[in-house]
Amino acid sequence: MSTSLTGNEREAIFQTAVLSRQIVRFIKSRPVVTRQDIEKVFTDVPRKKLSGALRSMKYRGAIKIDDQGVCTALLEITPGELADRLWKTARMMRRFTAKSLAKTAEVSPRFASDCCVTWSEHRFIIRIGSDHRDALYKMVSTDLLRPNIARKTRR
Amino acid sequence: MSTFNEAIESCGLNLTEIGALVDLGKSAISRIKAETYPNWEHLQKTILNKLVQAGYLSADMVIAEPGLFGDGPKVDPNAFISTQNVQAVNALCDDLLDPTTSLNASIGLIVGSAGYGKTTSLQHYAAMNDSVAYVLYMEGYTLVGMMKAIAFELIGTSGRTYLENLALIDRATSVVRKLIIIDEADRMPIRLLEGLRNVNERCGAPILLSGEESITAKMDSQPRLHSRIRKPEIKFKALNHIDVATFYEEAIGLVISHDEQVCRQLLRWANRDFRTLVNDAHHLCRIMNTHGLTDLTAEVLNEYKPYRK
Repeated sequence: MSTSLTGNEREAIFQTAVLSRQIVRFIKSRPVVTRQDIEKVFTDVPRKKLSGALRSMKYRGAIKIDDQGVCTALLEITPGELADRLWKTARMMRRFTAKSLAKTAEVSPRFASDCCVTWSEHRFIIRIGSDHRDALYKMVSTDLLRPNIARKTRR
Repeated sequence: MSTFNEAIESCGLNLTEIGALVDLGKSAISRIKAETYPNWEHLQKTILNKLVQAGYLSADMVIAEPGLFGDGPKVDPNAFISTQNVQAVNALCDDLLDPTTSLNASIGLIVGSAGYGKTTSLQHYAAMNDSVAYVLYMEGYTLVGMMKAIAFELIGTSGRTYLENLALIDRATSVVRKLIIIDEADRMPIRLLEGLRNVNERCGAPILLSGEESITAKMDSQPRLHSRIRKPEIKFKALNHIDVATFYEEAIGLVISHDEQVCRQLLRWANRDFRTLVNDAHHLCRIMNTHGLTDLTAEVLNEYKPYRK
C-alpha cells in the first residue's frame, strides 16, 4: 500500500490545511520521527518548500531536530489548534450553545462565543433558538476542516 | 478630584472612545464623571475595569466588584469534571492510540445506561485529540454507508463501494494511528460489527464501541469478536462519593475528599443525579459566602439541611 497522499487527504488526516501544523501533528503522533519519515509522508510537497518549512519551524522554536535527524515537537498548543478543536466539537455535537461547546472542547466561553458569532455570520452554523439565555446553534456546514476566516472579536 | 476622573484623564482616550467600551455616548460618560448619571458608581467601576482590560490603565486600578453573595467559593459552570468514568474512558482511548501498544486485541468497549455521560466523555476525548474520528451510528446504515461515514471522518472523502472506502480508510490509517469511535453501537447488527472487525484487522485501526448493555451480548455471541475486545471493558457506573469530591475540587476548589461523611451526605442528597449535585453546590456556596466560611464541613451541611427542599 502506497503512503503517498494528496494535499487534500493530508489536510483531512491532520485536520488542518497549514503545512507546519500538519508536520507538528505528524511528529506528535509517533514516538520517533526522523526527517526522512517526514519526507516520505509529505511526498507531494516540493523538497525545497518542506525544507524551508522545517527550517522556519526550528527557528521559531516549534520543533527541535537533533544530530541524528530525530524531530521533537516543542509547542503544546500550536496556533489555530483551539479553533480547530472547537470546529471538530461543533461537528460532533451538531446542536450546541457556546457554553456547551466551550465545556466539551475545554476552551474559554468567550473564545467559543466569538467563534460561534463569526461562523453564524458566514452561515456555517445557524441559530435555531435559545437554551435559557444562550443562543442555540446548529451545524449546517458539511466541511471537515475549519473554514479559514477572520474571527470577529468583541472589544 | 476623584480617582475615576484622574484615571480617565490619564488613559489618553476621549469621552466618545471611553463610551464605546461600555456602549454609551459621550454625554453619558460626562454625566458618569460628574456623578449625576443613574447607577454611576457601578458604571465607574465597569469603565475602569474595561480600561484596565484593554491595557489603557495599570492593573492596580481594578476595582473588585463584590458579588451578591460575597467573594468566596463559586461553582465554575464551564468546568469539565473528570469523573471516574471519564478517567477510565481516557485511559482506554490513550492505550488504544498509543503507537507502542499491540493491535492484537484492539476493539474497546464502553457499556452503560442512557444518561450516564458516555457520549459526552467520548466527544470530549475526540475533541482533545486529532487522531480520533467520532462516528455516530444511525439507524438504517448499511455496511457501505457505515464505511463511507468512517472514511469521510478520516480522510475527508468517501468512495462509492465498500472496497473503495476500505482502501481510503487503509490509506488514512497508514500514516498515523487513528482511533475510530462508534457511538450507539448497541443498535448495530452483527453484520456491521463484523465489518468493523475487518477494518480493525485489515487497516490496523483501533476501534472503540460505545452503547448500552445489549452490545455486550452481541459481542459475546461471536467468539472472533469477543476475543478482540481490549481489556478492561468499561462499564459506566452511577455517580459515587469520589466523583462528588472530584466535582467539588475541580469546579469549586473545595477539597472535601478527606471528609467521607460530607461526600456521602452530598451524594445521598443528589440521589446519584449530577444536576441535583450542581444545584446543591450552588446553594452551599452562597451559604458559605454569606457566612464567610471557607471549608465545607458536616456542620455547614446540617445548617443547610432545613432549607433544602
